[in-house]
Amino acid sequence: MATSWLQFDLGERAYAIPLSAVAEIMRAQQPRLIPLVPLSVGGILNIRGEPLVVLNGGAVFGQGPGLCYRHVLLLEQGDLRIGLRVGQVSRIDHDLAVSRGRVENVDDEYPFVCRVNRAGETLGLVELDGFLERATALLTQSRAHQGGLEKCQEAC
Amino acid sequence: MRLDLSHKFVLGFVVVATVSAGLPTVLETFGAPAWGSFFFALGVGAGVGSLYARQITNNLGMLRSCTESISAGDLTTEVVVDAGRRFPDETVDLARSVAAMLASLRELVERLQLAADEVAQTSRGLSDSSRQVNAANQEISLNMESFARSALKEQEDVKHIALRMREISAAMQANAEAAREASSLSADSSQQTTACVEVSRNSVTKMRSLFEKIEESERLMRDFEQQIKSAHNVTEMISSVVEKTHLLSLNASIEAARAGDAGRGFSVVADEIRKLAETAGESAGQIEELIGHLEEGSANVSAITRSMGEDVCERREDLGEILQALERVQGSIEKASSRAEEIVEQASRQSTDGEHLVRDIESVAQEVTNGAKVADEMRGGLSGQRAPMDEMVRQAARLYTMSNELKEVARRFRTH
Repeated sequence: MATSWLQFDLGERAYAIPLSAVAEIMRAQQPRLIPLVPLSVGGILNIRGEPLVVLNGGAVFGQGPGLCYRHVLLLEQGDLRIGLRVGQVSRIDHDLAVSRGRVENVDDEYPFVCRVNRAGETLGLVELDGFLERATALLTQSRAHQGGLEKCQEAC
Repeated sequence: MRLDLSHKFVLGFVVVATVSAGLPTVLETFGAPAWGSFFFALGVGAGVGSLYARQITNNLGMLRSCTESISAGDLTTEVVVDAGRRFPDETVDLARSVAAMLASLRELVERLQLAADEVAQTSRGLSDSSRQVNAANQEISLNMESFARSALKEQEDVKHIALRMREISAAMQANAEAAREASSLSADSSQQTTACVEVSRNSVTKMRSLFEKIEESERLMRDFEQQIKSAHNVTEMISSVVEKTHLLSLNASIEAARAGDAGRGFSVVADEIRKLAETAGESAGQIEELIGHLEEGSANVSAITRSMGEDVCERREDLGEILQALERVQGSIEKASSRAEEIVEQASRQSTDGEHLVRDIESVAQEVTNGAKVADEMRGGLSGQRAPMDEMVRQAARLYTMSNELKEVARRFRTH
């Protein structure tokens, strides 16, 4: 069975993420900021009473700060539930057939993104496991920061 | 008692004869020799002869010395006549005659000297006057010659002036013609300006109406702009609904995909919703683009109408000024037309005067020519008088010389 992809824009680049990991698409809201966390963590959103940690797509995909986020993707994979702020969701593509041989470039710093050339445009295919691993790492890093802060507060 | 020389000589002979005849008798009475009577008679004869001779020689000697003095030019000599002599004779008469002659001669010489002086002075004056007259004649001749040359030059100048005046008269006539044409054009311009002012008045009225319409269109454009802004807000709302619908369709597709086979029908509905949202989005985009164009166009039109409205406020005042300026131009052109008519009249008068002036100058040229001829003839006459005047000067000089010679001759006779 072919994989469905959700295409979105981030800055001037286009990405596609497997639709199976997407639980919901929401309009972007201003998240509540979390102190002492990396810039890739945008903050916390209240989604119908449930807290959701959202990551800044620009920081995760190396686009840098200052991007305009209009949508938030709610990603679910097992117990992991995380939000991703993106520029704008464009469409759902059900027949995005990309062979491995057409993968043109893989960035060493972002190995979960494979750049392919599709219809004259460069599209970044997000490898879900790698992305979730990076997201998990970012969240862990933020928790470590939070733990260090708590320890520091206790010592003081 | 007058006694002539002949009578005296006769009387002497008688005495001598009486003595000679009677004395011997007397001697004889007294006894004296007879021959004594001879000597006595000789002595008486010698005495009487001596007396007579002395008288004659004295008178003649005095006359001789007198005539010698006269011949020497001395007229001052006086002829002394013994008026007291008892028996005057011819010598006394001769002396008196010589004295009268001397007096007459003295008077003659004196008058001659006076006349010679007067003749000398007169001849000198005549000579001087002749020279002066001759010099004056020469000067007059030179002046007349110069006058003749000047007259010839003036004749040429006057001819040149006449020619120039003829050209000026022709130019005056051309000017008069041009002024007449300008006057005609000015009159036409005045009529056309009057028509133009009337047209301008109508235009001003129409322009004022147009300005009011422009102001009305400006108000309408402002209302239209407000309406476009309202439509823009509506399209923004539509775009927001479209975006939400699109998001809803995506989420529905996601839910259908997560539902697997159970959500397949729902997936179709979601896809239709998505297509509807895309279509609505495209339509909203087109409407937004159209409204954007309308907004941009209305902004441009509004800016233009606003600028036109501002210009209208200024031009409305300008119209009145333009109309007043046109009326002033009309007045000026009418004045110019009137002035052009005056200029035409003056130019015609000047042209006529110029023709008269040309004729006058030609007449003056003729007079100058005649004057030159008369001057030339006078110069010829004066040149002809020069020889007689020279002759008169020579005659006066000669008369002066002769009077001097006469004076020299008369001066030899001393009268005082």
